[in-house]
Amino acid sequence: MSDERNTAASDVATCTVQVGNPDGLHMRPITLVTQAASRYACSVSISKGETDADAKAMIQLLTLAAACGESVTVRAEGPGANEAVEEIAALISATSPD
Amino acid sequence: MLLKRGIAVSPGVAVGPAVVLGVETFRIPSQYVRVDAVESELDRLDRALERISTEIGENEQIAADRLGAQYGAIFAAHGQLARDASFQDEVRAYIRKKNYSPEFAASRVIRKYTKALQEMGNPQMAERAADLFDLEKRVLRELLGQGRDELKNLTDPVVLLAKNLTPSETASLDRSKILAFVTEGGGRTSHTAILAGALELPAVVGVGRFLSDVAGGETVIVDGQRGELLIDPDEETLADYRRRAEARRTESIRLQTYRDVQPRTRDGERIFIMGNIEFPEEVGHCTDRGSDGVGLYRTEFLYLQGDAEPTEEEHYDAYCKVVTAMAGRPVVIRTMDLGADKVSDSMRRGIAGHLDSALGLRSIRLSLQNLPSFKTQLRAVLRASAFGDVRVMFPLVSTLLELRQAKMVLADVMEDLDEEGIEFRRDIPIGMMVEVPSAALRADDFAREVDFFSIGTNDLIQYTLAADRADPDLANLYSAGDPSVLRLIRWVVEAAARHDVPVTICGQMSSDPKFLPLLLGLGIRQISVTPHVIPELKDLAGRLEVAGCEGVAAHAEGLELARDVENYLRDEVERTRSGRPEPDDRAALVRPKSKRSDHWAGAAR
Repeated sequence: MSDERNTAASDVATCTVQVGNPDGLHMRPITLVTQAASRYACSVSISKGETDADAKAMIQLLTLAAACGESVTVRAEGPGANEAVEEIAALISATSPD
Repeated sequence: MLLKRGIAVSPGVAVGPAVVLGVETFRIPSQYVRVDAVESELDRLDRALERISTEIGENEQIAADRLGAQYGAIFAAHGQLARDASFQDEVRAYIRKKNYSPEFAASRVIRKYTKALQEMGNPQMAERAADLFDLEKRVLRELLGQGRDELKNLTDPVVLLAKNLTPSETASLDRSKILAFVTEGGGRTSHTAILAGALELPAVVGVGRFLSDVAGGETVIVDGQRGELLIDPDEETLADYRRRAEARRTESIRLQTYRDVQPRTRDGERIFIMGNIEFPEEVGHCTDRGSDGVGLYRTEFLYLQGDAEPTEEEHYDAYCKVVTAMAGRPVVIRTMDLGADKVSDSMRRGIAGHLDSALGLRSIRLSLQNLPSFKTQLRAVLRASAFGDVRVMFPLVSTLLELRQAKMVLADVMEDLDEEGIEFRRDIPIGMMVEVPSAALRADDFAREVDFFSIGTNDLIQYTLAADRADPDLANLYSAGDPSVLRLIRWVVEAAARHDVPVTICGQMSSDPKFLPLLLGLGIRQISVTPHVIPELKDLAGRLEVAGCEGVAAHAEGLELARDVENYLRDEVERTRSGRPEPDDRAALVRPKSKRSDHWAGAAR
């Protein structure tokens, strides 16, 4: 699932995963990601290449246009960063959102 | 400002607020709100978003209960999108900082994202845009509430932008409220094009994807002449276009007075100006402008509708419409002028080779290889000839043999009609397009065997200069002013005069006013043009004198480069329009005046 993970003292966590859903990051998985991210107090971002999206902002995630098999990096900063990254990375790499 | 190019199908310029149809059927009534209304408008936005969220939540519950959780989830996604904080923040920022109305702001933000999705080059992602359009629809519906403004309830004139328009949609539009059309799809022969032409609305089609670049209510400019759409133009451009639109209106009102004017030069020479049409509906554009006839009726559209070949009755109905409307004035029907790539499979049977080549099996060549289909068309032409002054014309004739074969088929069809006791005009004038250099060079021989010539300059230029007319890289080469083209026209006109065969010029060259003095000077007295330029050409003809035109032609023929010819002719027309006198040295160049003047009347019977 994860090929890289760093946890710094100041509650910053990152994790790079491959998109598991065969249809890529479309409405359905994005809904789950934003719902999950919104439960955390920390900031969560997902980036693909140069593009960076707020994981709590659905419309931004949509424009990431991450297709199945593409790598994205989840980054969280603030309280609960580790847990947030873990949960969201799992959602992104899941082959089925359910 | 954003410029989009498409296919110009109906000329004219229009400036106005955009209405985007097809993706949304809402019209955004105003782009801006007053500064003191910003807070109340923000409240209105919040309330609308809240209602949407509630509504979607209810839908989610209903769908989940009845269909299962995965269907409910579709609505959950939409609900989440509506509640999306970054989306809402962007909309609010527009309202606060730019005083946009909530409708315009929301539309603007959503369009920004749909555009991003569509531009990713990933079809799956492009389809996601539909979800965002759906959100936009909901937001607008909610914001506009009962005041929802559909196309039927337009109060002020708008520019209609659509993916595509169905004929019924177009037909139901309020003509006085639509300034122009622009569509993403469609071609020169699409329904939108036909209707725009028939309604004489400026129109551009085949622009490709642009609807996501424009928000409803935004100001757009449509230039139906150049085939351009300008979205959100700057003030300078806008002022320029408003001036042009105004000048055009004034000019068209002035030119309407030319309807009943017979085109004559200042020294009384009668010029025959006819119209080129493609669809029977366009005949009105000719009669409205007092056209001397239909000098070129292109029949290709009949072959481009549907998969099946047109029946004799379909041909006949179309021809009768035109012939009846022209009430005794000549109608030149040109037989099928298409490449094998454009015709139905049944006609193409057994044909190999390059189907779309300009040098290939097309036009009369194809007709002669598909006799049943050719005969069907000729039967319809002959039957229609009983109702008016119908003339038949064969396109792309390159050898005498082809012409003789075509005439033989026509004679066969006449015989059949005779046997069946069907009425037609036995002495129907038979003509040919002169558009292949081989035909132009042998004009003397051809003139003995036809009743009239029509010089098709579009193809004649292309074949003479070996320059594909559709290739923008060859635009410099493809010129009606090329000395070789002028020489061929002169050659054909003189050969025709020797055999008392009238010559018409059709094609873009004759529709361009700057060539009128040259053509008159070369001895041409009949032209067939795009109907909307008829009044302008009548006006111009009235300012010219034959002797002066002959001087212009002689001078132009002495120039060595197409560019020089075109520049000279442009200056000449400017000079004529401004009423400046001719230079004195022109008289020395004048050729002896032709004793024949009325070619067209001579061909009538």
